[in-house]
Amino acid sequence: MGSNTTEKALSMLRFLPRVCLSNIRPHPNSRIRDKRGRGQHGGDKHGCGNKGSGQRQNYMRLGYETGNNPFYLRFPHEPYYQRHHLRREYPPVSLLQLLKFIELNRIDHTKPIDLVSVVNTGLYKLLPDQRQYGIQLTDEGADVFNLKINIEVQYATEVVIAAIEKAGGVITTAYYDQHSLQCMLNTKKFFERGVPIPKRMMPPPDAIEYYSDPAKRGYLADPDKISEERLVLAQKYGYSLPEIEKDPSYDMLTERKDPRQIFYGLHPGWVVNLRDKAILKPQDEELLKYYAN
Amino acid sequence: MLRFNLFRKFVSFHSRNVAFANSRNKSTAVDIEKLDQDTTSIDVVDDELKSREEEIQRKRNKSRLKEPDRNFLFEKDPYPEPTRWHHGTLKYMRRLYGRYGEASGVDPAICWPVKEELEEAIEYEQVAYPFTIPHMIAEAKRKRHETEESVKLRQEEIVKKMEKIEQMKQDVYNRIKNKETEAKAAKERKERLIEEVRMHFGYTVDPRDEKFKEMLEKKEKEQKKAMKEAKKKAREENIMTKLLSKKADTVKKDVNKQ
Amino acid sequence: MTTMRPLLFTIFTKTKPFQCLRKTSLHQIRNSSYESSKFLVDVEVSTKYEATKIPEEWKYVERILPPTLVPEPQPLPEYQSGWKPQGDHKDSPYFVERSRNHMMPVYLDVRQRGVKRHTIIKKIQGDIWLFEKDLRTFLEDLIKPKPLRLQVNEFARKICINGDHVNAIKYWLGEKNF
Repeated sequence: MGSNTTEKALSMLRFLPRVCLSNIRPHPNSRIRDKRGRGQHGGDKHGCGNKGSGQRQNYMRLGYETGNNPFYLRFPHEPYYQRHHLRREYPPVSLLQLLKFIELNRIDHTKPIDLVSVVNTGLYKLLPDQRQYGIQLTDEGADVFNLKINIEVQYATEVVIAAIEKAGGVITTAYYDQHSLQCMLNTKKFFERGVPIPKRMMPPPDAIEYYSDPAKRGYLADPDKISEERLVLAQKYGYSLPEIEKDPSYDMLTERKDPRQIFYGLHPGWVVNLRDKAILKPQDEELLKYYAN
Repeated sequence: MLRFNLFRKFVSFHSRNVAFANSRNKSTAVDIEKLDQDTTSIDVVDDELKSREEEIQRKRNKSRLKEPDRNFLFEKDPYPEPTRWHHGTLKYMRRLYGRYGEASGVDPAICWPVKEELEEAIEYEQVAYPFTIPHMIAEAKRKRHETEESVKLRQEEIVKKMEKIEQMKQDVYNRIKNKETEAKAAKERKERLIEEVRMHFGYTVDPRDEKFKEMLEKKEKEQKKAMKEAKKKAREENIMTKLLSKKADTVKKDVNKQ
Repeated sequence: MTTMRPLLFTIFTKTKPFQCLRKTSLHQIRNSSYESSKFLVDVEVSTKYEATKIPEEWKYVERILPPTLVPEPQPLPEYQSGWKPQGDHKDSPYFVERSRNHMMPVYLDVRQRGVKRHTIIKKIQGDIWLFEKDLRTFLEDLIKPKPLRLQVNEFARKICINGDHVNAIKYWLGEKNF
């Protein structure tokens, strides 16, 4: 009996027309019929009352208070939100979250971690249109953090830097402009555009001090000064600074990007083709000069 | 109900053709399998075989989809022959290369910015990012120092003034006190005058009367004169005392010399 | 590889009829649309390039491409972040399945702009009433003397509790090796 019904069903399937909008219907009671406003169901004056500006749809402008000085004109200058649309935001990721990502194999800690690897987990969303410029590493989980990682974020406090360096890792703060961020957030989509990898632009004047400060491990700071600051921080927080030079993963820990580079190992000006698995490099002098500038 | 009847008719109509369709399908299925084996073993060089292969592929396509949609599903170039205006734009062709690679038939050289685009990009960068990093860092540092300096100066100013604050407070209190005492003295003087005038008249006169006022003025003048003379006298006395003291000093000096 | 698309020369020159279908450039040019782009026939393309297929470089590309499936967690004896893998449940009458991200299916539902907080436990298999009984003994002890408001949805295989008991329940489920 069962095979009969299946046979019947399959034979039906073979000859029924393709499913399209004209031969399916929604769930029962999922669509509410529009009430047309006739009779007792919103009829007669249709909620507009009798005569007057209401029924005649001749309303006063929004904010008008029938002659007296309206609220929106009473106060001459309220600069509470001045330049709020220009302020940069850094959505946070805590050290505990990062630890969880690594332990659950979402991020590979044997390779340098940057914004791309965090976004590729699918668990961190960055919206550059909302003036969001990258990751801010927060100190929740600083006491349990014990992994040696090479991480690049956009903002980190002293405690976080200390926690990572105490565990034997390396932290850098770097800036990515909006265009580079769009390339990083969806790498597959970016490569499918068929355009060369752009060069990363410099930080704006109000951020340049932060990213050139060795105390904040900025990517534009002097590496010698950074190593000095590492010592200072170790002394401040009272831990012995691990010697990275003797570490077997020294190469991985010291791998850093050029200030004009967006992705590790890929230079600006290269065209990556995912279908052919090829990387195209330009040979024109002008282009090379432009991308190396 | 009508719908269900129609459906039944539809089904019954098709059920007649099921057997035929099935047999047809089966026969073609067998043929296809055979052909597959043939094609895998021998290279398709024969035109006839090729056309037959193509026809079979066409018949296999039961999707009733448009050609571009089907190509898109199979991750192939949807429009091998360009049909719309944007198929000729650089942007579209770059995307084609990015998605389909060599199979798209696009020259990868178009991926990089063309001369005009490069010029535009360089100009844009010159306008949008005019400063070098050392310059920007120096500027930022200078600005920071400036604000810090101004704040520091202001703080120092405040500290200096704070040292004098007790004295300034005292000055203010004294000034108030003096003012109060003067006002009080003036008031008392006026009261006394009014009393004198009243005494002069003998009976209670309204201070606002004219006669009263005249008397009051006279008395005020007399008082002022008296005050002035008193002041003068006081000044003269001061000068006298000073002169006397000087003389005494000079006499003393002479005596000492001798 | 270097062949140009043949029909372009005939269709996409400046004087051809297709131009009339295209909008004029009087309105704002948006860089995300094809109108902002030049036509291939109007530009000279002469960039020299080299196509390379070096495996070491390709490894960098693969590194930045996102994975398509949720990876399995690393098998470690202890997890510093506090995550616990699912252990032996020893033929218990009920079972709480993990989500596809290997997390416990205990969620906080905040409604009415923060006024209402419900804890929802989903994916409960087996005897849900026994599960509710055990949960009740645990939670009532925790929040006494306050009453516990709990709803069992047998068909949806979930339990909805009033209040924020997410961490407590996660701890309790961890104790039971779920």
